[in-house]
Amino acid sequence: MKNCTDWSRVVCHWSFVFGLAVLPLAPLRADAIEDGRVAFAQGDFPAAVRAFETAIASGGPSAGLYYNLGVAQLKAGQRPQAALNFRRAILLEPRMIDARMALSDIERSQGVARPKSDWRGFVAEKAPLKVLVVVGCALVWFGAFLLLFVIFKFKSGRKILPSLASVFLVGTGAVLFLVGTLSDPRIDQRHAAVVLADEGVTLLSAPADQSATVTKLPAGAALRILQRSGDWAYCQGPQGEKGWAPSKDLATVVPTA
Amino acid sequence: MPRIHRCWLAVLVVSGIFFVGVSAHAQQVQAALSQEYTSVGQPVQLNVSVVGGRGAQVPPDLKIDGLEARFAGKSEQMQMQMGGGKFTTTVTATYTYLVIPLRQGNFTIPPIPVTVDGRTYKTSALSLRVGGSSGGVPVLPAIPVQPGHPGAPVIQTVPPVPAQTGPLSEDKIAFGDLLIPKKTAYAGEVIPVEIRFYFEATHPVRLQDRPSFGGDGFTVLRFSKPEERQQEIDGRMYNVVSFQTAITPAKSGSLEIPAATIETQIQMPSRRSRNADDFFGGFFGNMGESRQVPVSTKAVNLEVKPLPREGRPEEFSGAIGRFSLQATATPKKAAAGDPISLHVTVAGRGNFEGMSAPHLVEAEGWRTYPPSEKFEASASDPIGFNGEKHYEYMLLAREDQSRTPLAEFSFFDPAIEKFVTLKSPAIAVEARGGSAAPAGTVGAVSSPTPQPQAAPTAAPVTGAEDLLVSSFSPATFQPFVNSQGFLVANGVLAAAWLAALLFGVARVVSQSARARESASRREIRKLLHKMEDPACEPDCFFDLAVEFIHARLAAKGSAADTRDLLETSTLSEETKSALRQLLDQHDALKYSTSGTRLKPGADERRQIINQLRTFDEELH
Repeated sequence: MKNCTDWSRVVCHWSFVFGLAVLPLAPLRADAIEDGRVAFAQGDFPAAVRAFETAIASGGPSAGLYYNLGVAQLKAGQRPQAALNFRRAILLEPRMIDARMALSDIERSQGVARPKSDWRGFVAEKAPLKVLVVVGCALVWFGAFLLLFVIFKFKSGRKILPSLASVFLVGTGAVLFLVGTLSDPRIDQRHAAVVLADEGVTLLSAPADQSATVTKLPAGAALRILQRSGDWAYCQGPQGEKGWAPSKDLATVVPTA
Repeated sequence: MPRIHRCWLAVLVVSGIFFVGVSAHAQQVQAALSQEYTSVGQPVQLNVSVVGGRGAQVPPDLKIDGLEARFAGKSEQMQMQMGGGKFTTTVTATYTYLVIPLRQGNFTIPPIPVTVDGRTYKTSALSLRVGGSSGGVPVLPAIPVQPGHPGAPVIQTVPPVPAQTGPLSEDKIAFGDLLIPKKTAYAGEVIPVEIRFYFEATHPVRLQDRPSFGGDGFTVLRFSKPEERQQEIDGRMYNVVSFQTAITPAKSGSLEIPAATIETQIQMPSRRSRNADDFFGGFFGNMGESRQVPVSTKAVNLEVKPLPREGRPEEFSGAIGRFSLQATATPKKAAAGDPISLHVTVAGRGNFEGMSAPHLVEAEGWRTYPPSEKFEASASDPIGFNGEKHYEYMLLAREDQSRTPLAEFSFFDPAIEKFVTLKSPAIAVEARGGSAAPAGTVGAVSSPTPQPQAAPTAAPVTGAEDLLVSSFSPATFQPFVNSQGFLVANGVLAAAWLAALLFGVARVVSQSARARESASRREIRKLLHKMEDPACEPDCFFDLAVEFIHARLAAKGSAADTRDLLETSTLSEETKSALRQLLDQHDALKYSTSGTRLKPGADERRQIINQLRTFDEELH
């Protein structure tokens, strides 16, 4: 009985030590989220923005957190920043309809031209990409192992049908894998950025203030950074127009470390 | 052109004229309304067409209780056909009345008497339904003919006089007219416009392009395809080309609609050929010169008023015109998480491009998303401001629902100068509420995204927390295919597959080497079987024995001496000794002159074969 009590003390002691080590992280995020919700409910949107930013910084990215941050920023009047964080939420969870709706509203109100949609956007919006990739991989490997088995174990006259079935599995899996991978916005939009400057940004024909104007993009517009040169970024606008913009007026959708 | 050819051409044309028979018989008299349904104050056209008769007489006014019907004008269309070796010309005269309803109700327009060549025909009776001033199907106001407008066609209401002779001034050969049905309009209102160009029929014309038309302060819709007809003006026949379009004033104030101009190439009479002494010379000797002539309409002024502020609904869609609203929902039953599609149709006439989607009301308990939209222009509308716009809303029940939200659509009706709000009725459905919404959307609102707020307010926002989501599954900006777990798992699988491949290949190779070895051994052992044959001569017996020893000791294809192979083998000394003796016997038999001495008996043969078997097993 005495031994048992001693063991309990040891377990309690170490649990306490472990808890002390871990506590500063997990509750910090939970508290920040709760603080953000309370501030939002009370109409203190700047405080809600700060709280959700803290939650992201302490607990890592999450589509829900970026969405909440975007909503708080929208309420606080920070529309370009809200557009950026809704984009981040969509990047992490392409099927998050609320974020898409909110982003669509901002873009409409800002007069932002929508980029041309392609099949990748359609797939990302409709299908679970991770499932596509995993199932595709599983089919590829299953088909590949089955092919080896057929080649080495079956007699020559009985190899054709099982071999074709294996090749079919490999092909189907490869297609699923490629579709899932290429549609992943984290790959497709890894160079995407959003105009954060309230007055918008002017794309110039050369990285110099006095160069000719290519087009003007409003705040919240998305573009693609093709190249960086000093304080300038060579970008492609939503309608395909290309030009130079000051890097300070842009923020990448994938946060930089 | 040589003069003789011109003469022949003239003869041919004159001959042709003799064959032309103008059908002067009234073959068909009929009446038609431009709309069968209208509203109070909205005019419709009543057209009485007389096919094959010229100079028909129609009553100047029609007396119908509740309707005001005025004669508006006449136009003629001439169609020439060649058949059976002669030209036939059919003239269709259209007599137009403007019918303005004075009150609601169903009206019957009685048969209209039409006198042609002394005979009186009657049209069939027509019915017209007149609704209230704010409802009903929208109608296009008739484009009034303005007889006093300079350059406008003067409509003949009496039988035409013979064609005038003598030269025409250029502005009588070709001119244009811009017809706008109203002089005041509202900013944003779509106003139908007709642009007509008149070309004197004896002057061949080629139109270079569509008319150029546009200016500041208004936008122009697309042009219809040009319509061609003939019309008699001042006793002369004109080819009339008309284009329909619509304009939308962008701002209020006095707006000048500039002239529309079309580039044409017209065969004008040559200035030096005005001398008509020579008949053929006048018609053919000097056909005139082809000239590039821009033909323009006159500019028109339009007074544009701003939309009134009073009475403007909060959810005003921006639509100006006349519209109706319909809604349907499918499916009628939906399980938890299954969407219901609410299909809302806005039909009518107006600025479809400038309107926003109907607003959903009483949508508590529903999750709604921005609708998709699609416009279908009316098939009879050449310019696309008359049609239907379809909106499709996806609805998800957050809790059990028995009816859909209502669609509410507000527009400004310029005819009654008031804002009108239409509401579709709620549609009975059976929708189960549930949480089968996409991940991360829990608690989203049913209304569109919250509007921005310039400054934060300290007051608590009721229900604002519902805007936030409460699912925070961890995620990463790193693509899944770049994640460590995915790469490790696939690396392991790839290594396993490669290992399996190598194993399989090695197995196949080894199996084939062993098989070859076994086959070779079987072949070698056949030598022993041959040695057992009693008929086998001693020479043959020993040759087979030596061959067996060599084959078993030597690698495939080896040409080394058998004795050397025996000495370097790992066989026991006893076996080696026995084999050496066997080889000596073979050599003695081979090289001895008295071979009889070496002839082995049956027992000796068996002993030798047993020794060879022992040797074979020892090697194995």
